[in-house]
Amino acid sequence: MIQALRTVLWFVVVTLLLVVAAVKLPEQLARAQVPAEFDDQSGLVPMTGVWLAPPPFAAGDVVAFRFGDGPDDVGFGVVRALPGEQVRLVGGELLVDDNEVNGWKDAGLYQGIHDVGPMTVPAGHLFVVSTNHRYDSLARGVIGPDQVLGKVRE
Amino acid sequence: MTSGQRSLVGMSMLAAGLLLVLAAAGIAWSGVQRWLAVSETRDALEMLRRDRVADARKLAAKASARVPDEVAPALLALDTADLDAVERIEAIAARGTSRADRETAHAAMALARVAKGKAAGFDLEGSADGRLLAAMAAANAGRDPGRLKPVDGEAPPHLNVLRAAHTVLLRRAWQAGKVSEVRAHAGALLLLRPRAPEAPLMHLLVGAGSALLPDAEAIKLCEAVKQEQEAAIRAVAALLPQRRAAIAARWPKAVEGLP
Repeated sequence: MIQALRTVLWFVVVTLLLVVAAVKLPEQLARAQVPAEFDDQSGLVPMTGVWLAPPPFAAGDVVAFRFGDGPDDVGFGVVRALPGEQVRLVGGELLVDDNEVNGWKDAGLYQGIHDVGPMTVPAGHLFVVSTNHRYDSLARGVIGPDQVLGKVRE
Repeated sequence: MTSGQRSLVGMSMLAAGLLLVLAAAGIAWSGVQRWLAVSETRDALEMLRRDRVADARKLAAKASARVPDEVAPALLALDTADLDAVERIEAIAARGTSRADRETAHAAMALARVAKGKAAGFDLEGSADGRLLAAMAAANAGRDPGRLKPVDGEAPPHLNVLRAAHTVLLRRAWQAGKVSEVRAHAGALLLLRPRAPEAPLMHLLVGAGSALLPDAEAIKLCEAVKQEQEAAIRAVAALLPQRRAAIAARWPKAVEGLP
């Protein structure tokens, strides 16, 4: 009798493990698309093995985002404007809802043009700015929800 | 335990095991389908960002067939010119559990209807989508759309509605010769999609429309326009009389016959 119970127990455990694997495997595969280590491509902070936090995001958060479909196409930047906020470039200054954003460099963008915008950040999107503007919203437009990998945290 | 009882236990275990394995296989299959659909939807979005609209639609249709109840791939696969297909989205949106998905579907349907000159068909009061679509409808009907002034507390607009509204209003302002409005809409489109094929033209409109930009810089912006360059430069010369002399020096034909 004990032997039969032991067999049943083993059977249940193995089957449960199979079910859990079946449920979790696709999730893990999806996660595997996100590289565990990122190269610093924005010049913000040298990062390896960073942890990412999910939304909600706030202005000032550093986020990692995809800018292409390659495994290394990951950029970093600071969230400067959230959905519904208005972004405008005036005289080389970045304004969000008419408030000047401190600590950013225009890096010669739109040289000679005094006023660009305003543009409203669409629903679900972020306006992200990095140091050299190679992959950020000024170079590539607003970052969509499918591109945002998460908020970078220690 | 007799051998008959042992056989009964064994058979019951086998049956239960088979059922569990079948259930696990079903869950795994739907999980893999979902994962493939997510991956294809993401690729379709990336294609859209690169203006490969037909490829994106094809891939999104494949993803939508895997997860027929999901709004995102169905919307990506949607040909907005086909109003019947647009109406079918309503059924998917009704099944969708996410409020954001439903709102996105309603915005897409309203945009497709307004683009065809019909009423939006949804109550989008209190949202930027509603305000933008009303401005688009007014512009399409030849009425003054007014200024796109944001309202405190309204829900932010969806990307496609925002793009479509700025495009329609830019076209209308250009036809009416309202340079400051042309600059504002072109600037918004430029910030939204700085790498779009039409971005060099938007850059030119924003730059050349500003009195602060020297003619030599405006000509450089004209040279950067690659899509239908001659027609674009002629249209810019027609809009901005103050740039005509500089444009005529480089492209004499572009200003021929302009008043």
